[in-house]
Amino acid sequence: MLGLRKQEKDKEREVQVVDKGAENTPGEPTREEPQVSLLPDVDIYEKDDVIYLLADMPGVKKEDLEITLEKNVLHIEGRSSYTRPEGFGCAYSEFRAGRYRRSFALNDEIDRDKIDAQLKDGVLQLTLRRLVPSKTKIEVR
Amino acid sequence: MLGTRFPLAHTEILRELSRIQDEVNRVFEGLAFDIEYPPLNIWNNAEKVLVDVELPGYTADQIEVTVSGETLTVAGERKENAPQDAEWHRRERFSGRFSKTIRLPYPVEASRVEARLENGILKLELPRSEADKPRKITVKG
Repeated sequence: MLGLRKQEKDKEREVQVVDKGAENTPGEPTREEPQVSLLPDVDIYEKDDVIYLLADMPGVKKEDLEITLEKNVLHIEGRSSYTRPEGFGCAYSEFRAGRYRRSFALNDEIDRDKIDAQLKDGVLQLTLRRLVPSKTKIEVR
Repeated sequence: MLGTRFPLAHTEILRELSRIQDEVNRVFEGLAFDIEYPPLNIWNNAEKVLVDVELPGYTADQIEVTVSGETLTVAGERKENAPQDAEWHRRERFSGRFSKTIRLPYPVEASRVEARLENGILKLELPRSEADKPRKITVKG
């Protein structure tokens, strides 16, 4: 519901990659263990018809990251491997391990076959390209 | 009848509950605005203190750790990778300089502090100062 509201808000601003929040991936609500759902901080910017999406996912390893494209929705999901150190008590805590999840609706202008993903130092970088350039230069005769 | 089951409806309810749980988690996460950047956890036992700091996208040379007695300061700077003329669609990730100072559970040996970066989490190991360690007093017969 939150995702839908966000989506509508973004439509007004004509964003190509629409944030859908931590939407549930269909058919996966069975969980072995209760896990905290975390919403990663995201930057999205565009330059020369290439859209860059950066998501902070500290504690996530490459093998614990899953990116799926389902119709026009791109799901990113990463499990943080951060664990409580053995033999230590917790004195103070501001963050927890959990599952980072966020979904984005792509519009038809995005090339589905040219999505690149890279995970480095806990940051996921996705590169998306437009099928057709957004701006066409009009020759003045 | 009480024993009648509706498998489909049951799954739907579970899914809905899971969705509600995610949304509640998100709301509470949003309320945690009073946490000073970056979020950190402190663990300790009688021998040492472990401090874990979420610093995704930072390289070692962008982080500065200072220890004095029982005071720890973590400072750093994360620079924007986006070109100046990029068009922004969403901007949530931290950028710029930060400095966070915390008080440790007990004084530590500043010269023996170890620091490493692991998937966007800074891990600090701070051994307790010898002078502060509890001593066992032998009772003479």
